[in-house]
Amino acid sequence: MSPLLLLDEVGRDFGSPGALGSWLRRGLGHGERRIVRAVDEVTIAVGRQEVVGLVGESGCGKSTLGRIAAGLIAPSRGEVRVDGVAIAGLSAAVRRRSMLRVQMVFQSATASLNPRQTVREILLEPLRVHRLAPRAERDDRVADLMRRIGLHTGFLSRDPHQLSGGQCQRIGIARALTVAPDLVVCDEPVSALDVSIQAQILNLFQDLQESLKLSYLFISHDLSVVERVSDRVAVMYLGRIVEEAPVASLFGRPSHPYTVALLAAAPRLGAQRRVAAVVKGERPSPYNPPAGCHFHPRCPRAVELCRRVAPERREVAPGHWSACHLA
Amino acid sequence: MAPRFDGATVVLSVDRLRTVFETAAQTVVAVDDVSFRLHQGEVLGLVGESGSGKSMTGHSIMGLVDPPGRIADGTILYRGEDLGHASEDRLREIRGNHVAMVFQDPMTSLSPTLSIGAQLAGVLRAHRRIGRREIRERSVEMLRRLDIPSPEARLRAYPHELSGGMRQRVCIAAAMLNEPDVLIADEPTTALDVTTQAQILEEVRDLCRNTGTAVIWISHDLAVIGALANRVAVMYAGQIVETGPVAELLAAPRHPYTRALLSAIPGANRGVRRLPQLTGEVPAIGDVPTGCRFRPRCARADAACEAPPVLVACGIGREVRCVHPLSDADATIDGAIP
Repeated sequence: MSPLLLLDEVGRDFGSPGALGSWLRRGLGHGERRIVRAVDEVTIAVGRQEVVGLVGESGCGKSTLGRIAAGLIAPSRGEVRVDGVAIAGLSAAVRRRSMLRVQMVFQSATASLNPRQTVREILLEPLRVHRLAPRAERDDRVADLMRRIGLHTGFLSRDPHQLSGGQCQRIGIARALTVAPDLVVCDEPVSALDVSIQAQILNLFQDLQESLKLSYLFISHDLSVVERVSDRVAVMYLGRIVEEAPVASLFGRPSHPYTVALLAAAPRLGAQRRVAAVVKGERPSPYNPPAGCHFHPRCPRAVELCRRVAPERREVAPGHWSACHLA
Repeated sequence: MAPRFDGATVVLSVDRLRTVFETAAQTVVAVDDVSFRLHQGEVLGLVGESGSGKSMTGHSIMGLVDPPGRIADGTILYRGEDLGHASEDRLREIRGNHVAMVFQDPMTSLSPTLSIGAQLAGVLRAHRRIGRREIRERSVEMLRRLDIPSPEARLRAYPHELSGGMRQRVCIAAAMLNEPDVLIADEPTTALDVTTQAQILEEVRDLCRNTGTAVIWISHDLAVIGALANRVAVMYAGQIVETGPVAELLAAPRHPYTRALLSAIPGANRGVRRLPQLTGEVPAIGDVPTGCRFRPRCARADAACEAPPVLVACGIGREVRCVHPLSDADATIDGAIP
């Protein structure tokens, strides 16, 4: 059975000016524009009722990958498949239907809600636009959603600025759920929240996943958050997935040196005043990534081969993939 | 090299600090009855959620509270000198020279139109007459200590040419250039990646050890504080609710809020299916509950909590603002929080 969502060898470049742009630039003597390869041929699947965590540092391409998964931007290369059907080949109307099954929750809840709409209008809009429920039932649907996200229906008449950060994020989640999706792409959904509120929202994500049988592609820079919610975790570095494994396997027996470094760098309670094994050096510019393995300039174990040849991903244990020559 | 400090000298002492914001409509107390002492070479972690008053405490010490805010009460002594009554000239002499601050967003503290070298030179020149060669040497030396690659070339760079982690290191370099007695760091690594954060924490720890600089590290992240601080003060709704040595406090918190904060950390609860969560949210500073401010969210609250609790000693170097403090037995983080 094909997975719910499959990103098949997808890549995405930014800064490519297009044919007309290139012609104009050449004509004006500007030369070619610099292109950044934000996502570099990534394959990742999300199964039914599965939570796949995507971790990486800023600039690694995880948000771009999330936006491709949610259909917000098109990949430059490769295919997005929902239930095995390539989205790009569908007619506009069918594609829109198909992509309703994948929704998104954003990092900045306050910025992603329209300040001039009330909470009721925010939640009714998707139902109205996609003509999903008879008008008479829409208010019931919205009330039901409010119950699921743990907010009193009294909040429906409020404006976003009257809500706290945690409440805004609950509304952001409710809005994603209005169209009854199968998969929700969550892009750093708890990063902007205080710890006590973060715990509430993480629990809410878990409850909703169980009660609505949802799948998540859960993007975060925070390893402990990803560890908590995910069944499987993929680690990204400079546009590539360097390691992918079931959560226990990845955190218990990390294989890729970058994953090892990330785990060592994350401050953890109970590990007080230990000398951190620190990755030396800055992340290279994505405009000009190193040849071979992207991580080799910072990798303590790099050998000659790593400088020349980009490693293919290999299965190092059942279901545990690593893109490292030394794994 | 032997440290140049003994660890017993108090460099900064804050006593009953109270910072308020006054408008025609109401008076809001942002910092209420905050007291602590900072010793040479020590790192004090100031922890709390947004609105707890932790940043405002830092700003108050620096004399950076803008109207309608003002320090309404309390004293801030820097090596015995009352900063509350110091002249603006004297304050300027102390700020950046003896007491320095690093802010969360480096882009707002660096000038986009000046090179890094010019900005570091400005910091040095502001406080003493100093020749060009020495400026260059000291700038390069400080950038090198903060592990910035090819520091000579970086002096010519502008902030936009550097990455976020690099910019924050430049800010820390600027703050450390005059080897201040006190460094106040307001969430300086919150916006950074974990690998960059780990590097910076490492460097700050070294600098304290080598120069005797005392640090107030403001953060919402208990794990970062655990990795860096010697002592912790936990703030809630403008007040310090618990303080003590870092290992003891994190291992056996006395205040229910501290325990709740620790329990809410995703990484601290491996194997627990649901994170123990606090109900409700931090009260808005204009709307704090009477009595114990944590009372509406606390499972242990009863009639005794209706009177405002005071900080009381609860062990060596430890204080708690709670009439029903936790014991060692119920302080463990096991997810069994009611």
